[in-house]
Amino acid sequence: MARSSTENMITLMSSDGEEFMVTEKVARECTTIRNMLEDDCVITNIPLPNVTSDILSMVIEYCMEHVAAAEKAAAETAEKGSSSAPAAAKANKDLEEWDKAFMNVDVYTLCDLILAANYLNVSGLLDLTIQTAANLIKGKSPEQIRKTFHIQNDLSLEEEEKIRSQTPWAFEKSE
Amino acid sequence: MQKSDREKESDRSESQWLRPGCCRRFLRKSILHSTVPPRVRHTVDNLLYSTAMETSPTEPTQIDRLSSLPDALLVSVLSLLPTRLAARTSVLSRRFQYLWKASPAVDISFSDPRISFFKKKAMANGVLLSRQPSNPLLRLHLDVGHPASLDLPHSFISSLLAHAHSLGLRHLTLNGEGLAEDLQPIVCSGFSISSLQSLSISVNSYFSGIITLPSGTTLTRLRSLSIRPPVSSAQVEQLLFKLCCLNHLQLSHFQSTAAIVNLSSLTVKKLELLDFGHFEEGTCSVRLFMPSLEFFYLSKRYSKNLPHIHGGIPLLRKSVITVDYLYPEHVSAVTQLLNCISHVEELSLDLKERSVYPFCNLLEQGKEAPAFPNLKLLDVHMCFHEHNFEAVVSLLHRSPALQSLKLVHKAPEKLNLWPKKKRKMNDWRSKLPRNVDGNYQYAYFSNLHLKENNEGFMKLLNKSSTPKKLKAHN
Repeated sequence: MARSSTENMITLMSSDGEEFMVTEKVARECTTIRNMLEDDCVITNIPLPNVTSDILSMVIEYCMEHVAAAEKAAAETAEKGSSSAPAAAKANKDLEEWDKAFMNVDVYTLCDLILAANYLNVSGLLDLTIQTAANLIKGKSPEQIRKTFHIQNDLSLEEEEKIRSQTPWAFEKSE
Repeated sequence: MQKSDREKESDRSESQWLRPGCCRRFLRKSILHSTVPPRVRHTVDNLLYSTAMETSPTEPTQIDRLSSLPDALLVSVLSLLPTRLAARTSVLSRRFQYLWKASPAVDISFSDPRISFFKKKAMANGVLLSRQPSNPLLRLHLDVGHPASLDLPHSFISSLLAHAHSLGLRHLTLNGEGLAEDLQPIVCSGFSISSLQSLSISVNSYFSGIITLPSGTTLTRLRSLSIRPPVSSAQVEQLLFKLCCLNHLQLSHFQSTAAIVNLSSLTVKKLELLDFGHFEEGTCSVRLFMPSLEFFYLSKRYSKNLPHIHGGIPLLRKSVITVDYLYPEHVSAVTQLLNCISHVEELSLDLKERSVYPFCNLLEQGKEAPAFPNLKLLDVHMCFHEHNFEAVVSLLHRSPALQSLKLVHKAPEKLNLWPKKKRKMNDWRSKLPRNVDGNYQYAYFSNLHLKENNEGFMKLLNKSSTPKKLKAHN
């Protein structure tokens, strides 16, 4: 805990060659990187050929926020002996609000974030992005979903009719 | 003063970091503080520039990124949707035609009035019965509605559950309503799925029939069990013996047929008793033997009686007690409960009393509050009239480890229906000391062990022994 000021810095390199300096603690939020660090503890420069710089900067932003929140909670616990329930509940709510604001992105970025979170194995971010994508599908007609995600319909009218007739219960008049 | 200003400023800048989009600001900041080597500084500058260009509101990207995600990720998106909505994605495009069928979560509801019964059956066939073992099913939410009125044969539901079993089902939620004898085979089928890790059965039975659980339960992997069916207490007692790795037990709307219920489990860590009562409106005792229990939740909302809790729960850390409609006859149960859980670290009480005259909700007359040697967090929502206030203060005197305290005054409902005598209204007034907001509605102290808010807390502790109060007492 005390070594936070002198903590190891790790350089993450995105697919387009940008470099990001992060603390080891932030990098460890990504299970993929944590495994690399545990295999080889002197590693300081990690190339991430599957993640572009703008997506990587968002992933780092997410990890930093969550590390900061966890550290704040831990510091409060250490200071007071135990964290008070209302304060912890408020901190959780703040973090939820932050996550919600963080997910205010276009669908293209959202999908890239899902991929990056999956590749880097950031479970919190993966859950958040996947839930956000599911929420975007919920309550929409197929046509609206296609429009939201720019999906090209490559089914002919007859094919679509056939699929609909196979699962008639799914296309009952919705609420 | 200057220093504190600076501190404030640093606080402010820290709070700015908490907002999304601040990462780039952080990077810039680190450049200013030159903790970043020059090589990185260059690329960071590029980044600041390039992302500013990209995120400017130009035309949105029209590329279908979703379809290019790997199957596994798309399936996990679809698994968060109700099956009916997930199945609709089959007409989006060829890419999506079969994806939804791989979702490990399925929910089937026979109670949805918007869908004809014929189609519901077709749905159950399509999503469950025709599912291949190569496509495992992890979660099933099955709402059988009112099977008798739906003309839904038990054999059909049992076959659904049996097939789910063969697909390796881990988590089952089963809801239904009707006569006990109609629901019996369905509940039994649920209990026979040996692969389950969590089982939640909520059965609303109209008459006082009792469901007999299968005697040879093989739920050896079950970690979480939530039941709200009319089962006998003896059955639950026996069932608990067999569930060898159960962590979480919730008994809801339980009507005990016996005066004493023994709940024993070596593994249960979390126990929830919701509306636990006696079948014939008598009081009921619950004896707990749960050496691993850490969390105990008790609530009374619809039931008439509050059970008397006795027992061996040495590791209990946290307890939450919620009682709606607390009558004077419940006080002995509350007193008993407080004695039983007096070694907790966190205690939350939410009591809503119902009576014409205020009475002490926590303690029987003439009894002393138990000592709470480990209590760190106390959260009490109740009407802090004179009797309750004194009881809480005496409890606080006996809680030496207390760190955080929250008392919230809750005036009883429908006060205006009672005779409008001024004296009577005064009886229900909060006796809490005046707080920082200048009212008497709450008292909140934290860090008590650091002797910080000592002054206000001492005021609270000593308030009951004012001469006026003593006089009134005599």
